[in-house]
Amino acid sequence: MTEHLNLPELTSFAARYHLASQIRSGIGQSQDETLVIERITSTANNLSLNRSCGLSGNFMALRSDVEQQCATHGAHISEELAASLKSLCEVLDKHLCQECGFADQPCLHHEKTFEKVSTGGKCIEPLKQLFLDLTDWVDSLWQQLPQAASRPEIVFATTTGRTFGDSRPIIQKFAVSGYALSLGEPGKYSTKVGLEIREKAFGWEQYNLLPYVLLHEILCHAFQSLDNPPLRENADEDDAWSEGWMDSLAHSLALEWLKDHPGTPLKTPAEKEFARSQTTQLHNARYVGLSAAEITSAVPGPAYGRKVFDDVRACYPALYERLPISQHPLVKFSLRLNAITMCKRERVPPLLAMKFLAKHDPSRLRRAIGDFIATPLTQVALDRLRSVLK
Amino acid sequence: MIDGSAVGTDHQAVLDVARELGIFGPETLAELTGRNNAEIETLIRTHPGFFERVGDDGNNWRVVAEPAGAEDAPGELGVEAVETLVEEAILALKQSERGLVHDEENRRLIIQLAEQRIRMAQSASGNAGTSKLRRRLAATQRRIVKLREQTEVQPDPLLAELRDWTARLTPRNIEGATDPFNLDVALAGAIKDAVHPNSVLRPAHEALARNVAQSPQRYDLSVTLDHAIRGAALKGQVFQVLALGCVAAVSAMGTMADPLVAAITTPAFRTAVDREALRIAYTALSNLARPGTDEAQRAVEACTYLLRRERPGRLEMELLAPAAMQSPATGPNGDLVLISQWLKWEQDRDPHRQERLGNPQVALSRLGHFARNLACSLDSNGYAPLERGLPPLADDELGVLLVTYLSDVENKALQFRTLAPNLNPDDGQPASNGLHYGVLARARVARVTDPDRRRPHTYLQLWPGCRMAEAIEDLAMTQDPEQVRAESSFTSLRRKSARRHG
Repeated sequence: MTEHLNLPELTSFAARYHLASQIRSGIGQSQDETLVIERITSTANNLSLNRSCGLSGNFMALRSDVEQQCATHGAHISEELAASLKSLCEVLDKHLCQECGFADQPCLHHEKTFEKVSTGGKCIEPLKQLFLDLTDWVDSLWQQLPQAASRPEIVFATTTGRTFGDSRPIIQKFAVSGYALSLGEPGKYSTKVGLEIREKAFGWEQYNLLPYVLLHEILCHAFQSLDNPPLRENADEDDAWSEGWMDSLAHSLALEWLKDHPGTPLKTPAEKEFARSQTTQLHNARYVGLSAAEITSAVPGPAYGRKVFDDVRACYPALYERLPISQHPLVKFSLRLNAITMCKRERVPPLLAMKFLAKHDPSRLRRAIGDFIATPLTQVALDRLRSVLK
Repeated sequence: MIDGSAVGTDHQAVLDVARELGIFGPETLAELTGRNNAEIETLIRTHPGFFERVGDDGNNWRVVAEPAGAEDAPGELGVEAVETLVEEAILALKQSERGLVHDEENRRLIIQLAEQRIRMAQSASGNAGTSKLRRRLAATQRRIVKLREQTEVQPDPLLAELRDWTARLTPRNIEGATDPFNLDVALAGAIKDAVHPNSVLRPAHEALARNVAQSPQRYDLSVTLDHAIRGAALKGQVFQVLALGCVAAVSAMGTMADPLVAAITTPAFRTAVDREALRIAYTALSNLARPGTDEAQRAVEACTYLLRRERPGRLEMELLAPAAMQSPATGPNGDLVLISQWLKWEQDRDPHRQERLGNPQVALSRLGHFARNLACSLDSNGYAPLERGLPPLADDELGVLLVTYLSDVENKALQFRTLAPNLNPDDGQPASNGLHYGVLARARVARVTDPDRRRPHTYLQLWPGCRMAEAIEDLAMTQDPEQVRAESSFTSLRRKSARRHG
């Protein structure tokens, strides 16, 4: 489900995305696969759209540019690739605004188009699909837990233009960020998850960051407080649990997604490695300013939550590193604890106790975590956990 | 509970890993224990009382029975680990005792965490602790009790009064209020009692009680304050900066904005300051821009500078934006769009959002002081930002939110009104110049900006039928029944005219 989408400029990204998909399917296992993809990506990233002609025209120009480059550098373009490039121009027609059901009113820049993009939205189809894939993935992990509630309602929204707070360093540096808002009333809660994208700055690098950005919002916030509390509040930005511990988990899961998950659009090892390093850069940049202050602060914040997550993960025997993080007990533990409504003050003491036990009594901590995961009744599980982490 | 030894010693290691995993698939357990899948499946099958299937997919299991002694007590830890816990507890308490933590919730959290550490230390040390360690534990507990008593104190109302330009600053009863104000003595007394959460405002109370704003010593005091604030900021002395800043705030001298803004931007101060302390610093600075302050323009410019420099966040918008509205350096529409976006952001995150669902007219009353301060800035400067800034937002939900918020009765800021339009002398129809809506300061704002209430309403260029105009008409009907002039609103005239013409 989507609402308030207003991203016509993503059309160029969508076209580029489909270009990459087409080229990949055409290349197959070509020897020069990596080289060709790099050239095409580089060319496409630097492509300046000619507004006087349509997208097809622009990509025809791109195609000849790619062919010329490959010829100059001696790289091989297979017949399949050539055919794919040709068919791309036909495919692009299907991704024009007119195909979204608003043939007489195509999207224009500087106008509110969210209704059209919401009901049609071919231009952001890759984003919608990524959002759905990630939600499905998190839900599949959540459903493994005892007493897991039904899948929470999550609305995907995107906004453009200047909004309050979009001048934050993260947006300035990475051009993309996310947000989550709790909506509704008891019995009918939902979460609006959205992206903040700096205008005209969305490209392949930003797309690479989306698994982490969206996973953070879905995992940390949309799957938070699912026990139908009287008031479902949004997490504070200095919350050690939501923005620290859970964010670290989201980062770890994003790295797994980018590396192994079939949903990732990345194919070559170099592409995957690049995306993973970009993701880690974003993860590290999020609280770089806070960490120094937090070290001397008496009040644990996100950096503390991250440190505890790392410490607890490290207290598991080395064999656990063989497991994908999605199968690590910390994922189930975090999902279940995150789904229980607690205020910031209630979430910090368990972190403190976990940090201590991870260092001084790791086997007891690991057993407590396993016990919390396996105990069927949530309240009983929580009481037993608290009896250890007090 | 089934005794864990029933699985046999061979399988004890497998059972331990299974318990750590909580819920597991046989493959995962096999991988972690170095067994093959068949072995694990056999173990599960042959010990039906130990394992239970979880979920619908049939491939996940959990351990039901726990080995004897599963509810194991924590083991005794070394003295070193216990000492670490005590050290951490004391370190955290010191931050609060030195007046470095100003957020009430954080102060409580610090105490809670210190108590937890001491509890863990006691539990882990058992009887092994040395007598010295036991004494330290007891002393720390006493500090916690003292700190807890002080944290229960209600926040000083002076802070709320400084935040709201329409509020009167009220000193608390001070002994020897007839003596001249001595900054050094007042500051030393506050520092001595820094553990008390309200002590940072004590020098300001003393200054208020001795009426320094009207006294001949204020200019000498300003020089002393200037040096002291800058010096404390350079040393990262947050408590001193805040205490002195609050004295500056009650001195009613706009020139005091210069050292305050210098302190706020000093790196040593910024690295040591927490969010609530920054809030106090901004409050002190912003208060110097309140109507009636000498050279308030200095504070206005200081707020504008910080608002630009700091990339406006919540604190900057709440405390600096109203003053910046008066600056010529602010955009012609006073950044109304940014303010509206921020209000929308706050509304979306309003903890009382649910109570509001049935009553969308009540907007953000916890930020009522912002509305009143903004109203003071607008009413003192002729509403030019509104006149220019509202029309572009007239059909936007942000504009409706802004008007609703500013006009809300609870916020006591502005009153948006429907006004009788000029009638065309030829046909008696309203002239279509669009001047049918106006704005006026409410009594609480007018008391400080226009005490004689001589200022008439200011016309706003809104066209009837736009969302903002409709919101104003609704507000006039629902919130200010005594002000409704429905018979002369543009909408009612249109309806009358329609009836007249058949």
